[in-house]
Amino acid sequence: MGRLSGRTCIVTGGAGGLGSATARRLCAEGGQVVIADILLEPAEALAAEIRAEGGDAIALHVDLGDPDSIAKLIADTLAHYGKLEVVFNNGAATQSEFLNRDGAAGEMDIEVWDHTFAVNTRGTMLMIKHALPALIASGSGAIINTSSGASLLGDLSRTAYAASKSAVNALTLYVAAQYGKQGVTCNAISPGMVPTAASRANQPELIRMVERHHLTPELGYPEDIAAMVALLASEDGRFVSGQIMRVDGGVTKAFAHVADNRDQFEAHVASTWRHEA
Amino acid sequence: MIFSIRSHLPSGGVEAGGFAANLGRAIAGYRDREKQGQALPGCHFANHAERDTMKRLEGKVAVISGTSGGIGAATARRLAAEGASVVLADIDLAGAEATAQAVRDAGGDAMVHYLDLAEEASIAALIDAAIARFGRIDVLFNNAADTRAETMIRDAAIEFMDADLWDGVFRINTRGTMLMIKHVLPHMVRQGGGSIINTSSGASLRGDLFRVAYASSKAAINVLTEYVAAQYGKKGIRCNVVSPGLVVTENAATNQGHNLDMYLSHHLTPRLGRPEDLAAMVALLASDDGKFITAQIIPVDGGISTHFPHVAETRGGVDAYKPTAPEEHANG
Repeated sequence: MGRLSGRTCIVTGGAGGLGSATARRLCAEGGQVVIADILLEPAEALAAEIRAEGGDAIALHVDLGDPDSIAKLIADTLAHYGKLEVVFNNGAATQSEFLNRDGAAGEMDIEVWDHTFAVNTRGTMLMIKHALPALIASGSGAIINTSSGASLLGDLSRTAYAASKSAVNALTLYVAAQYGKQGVTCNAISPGMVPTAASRANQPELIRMVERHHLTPELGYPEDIAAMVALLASEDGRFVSGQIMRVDGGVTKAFAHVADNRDQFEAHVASTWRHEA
Repeated sequence: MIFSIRSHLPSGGVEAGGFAANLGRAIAGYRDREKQGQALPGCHFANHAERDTMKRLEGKVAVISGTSGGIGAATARRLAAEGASVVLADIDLAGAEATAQAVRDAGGDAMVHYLDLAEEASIAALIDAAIARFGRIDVLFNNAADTRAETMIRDAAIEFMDADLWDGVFRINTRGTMLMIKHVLPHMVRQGGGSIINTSSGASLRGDLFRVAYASSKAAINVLTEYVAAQYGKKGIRCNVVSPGLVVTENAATNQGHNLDMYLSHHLTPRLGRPEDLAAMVALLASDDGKFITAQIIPVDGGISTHFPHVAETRGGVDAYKPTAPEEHANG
């Protein structure tokens, strides 16, 4: 009996990197998982794979920009499993051609801004709104929202994305304050750089540049995020609420100059103390 | 905000007059209500003990300070259940031995060693003994602090702060934690990695009235954590803090801690904390599940530090809040 035994979970963006790793993890720990995505085909393929390995998963379509689609996702989940304990709001407007149009504030395309907020912020809010009755009824609901390091520190592009994720952080605090006493925890996870396999292979210089600013030897993997979601979704996370959890290799927690000073630091340590050792 | 008094006291040293007895009654009362509230929101799960334990720490060695009760003891049981060999350090050897016996009874591997965090020699001896026995240290959980009732009671108004008391608190909590890390680091660097977890406190994140020395000493641990992560992260060493909310233990004691219901009203969860809540987060951070997490201050605090202070008063709606006037103005 795993930590997610008897718990029904929805993972939005379930066919993507973080979403699919988390769906697998929640199933591996005994959960029943609805893999919800705007791309139904890969979601169905993942659900079939999980079922073939003995897990319990189904795929459902959701368009987070469409309020009716969100309401239908919750209704269909309840129709299939009869209950709902965990919602992982991980879906966002991250199609690369779309993100490339999200630049600096001075050149912001209002359509990009509005669509970003409609999917990332309003979509997350509506998922929570429609799921809350079932989460409260379960007596032990857990909401986990995917935020971003971009919501915490300034950067040069993807302004709309960052602002929409900052709004998700505030939403997280408010849901935790409003529904905590009814047994619903609400937390956000702020991932550091978790490159796709393609990006690792095709952009080695970019990867190296970003990696040196993380405090871990390596950048993240989707499984790193999935592990924290599993804790927050289970009894292990019952006393954790209102947090913006940074699973980010410490990239948001050290000064920007650390990477540039590291060689100097090591040389200083070596010349001052190492000869004594 | 947890106070495991025995972590820095000879056993049974908490008898500060009627204080402990009153507190004991308050905790027993809260516990009874929590038990009756099994059907309350958020309390539905089977006990931690009733599910299969993950084995994320097989072959790892964990040194834990402050293990005679509370968070330290629960974490020792959890890490051992997940497969780690545990080194239980405490100034209260009998208390640590009792925890070790519980670990062994459950099939785990534990050794006990004396630790006085005020003395570097004692810290060095602990780490040497752990290495002598196991040859490696993968996890360091710096959980012990000076939480003696006699310290806590005098740690209040800054205008009356006894500088010796201040120094003593920093010597044990901050300097002791730094020295534990100092002595473990060479082994973790040699091994190519490790995970250090420090216990901080909600008191390190916000202003409060009592325990200013304790809170300041814990805030220093927060930034120490970020420095350890920055300096040694690329060598595979992660360093994080867990910051507890109000965690109810047999040994819990605060200067103002009798009113658990008042504290509960300011947490966002249906219940107060349990040592097992902290143990679960420490287990994640200690294992490969936490390998992309470093330099973080992670509150396991029922959300007490995440909302405006007026939330509890306004829960019934702002209009429902009726302040109790300190005095009625007859001429008003």
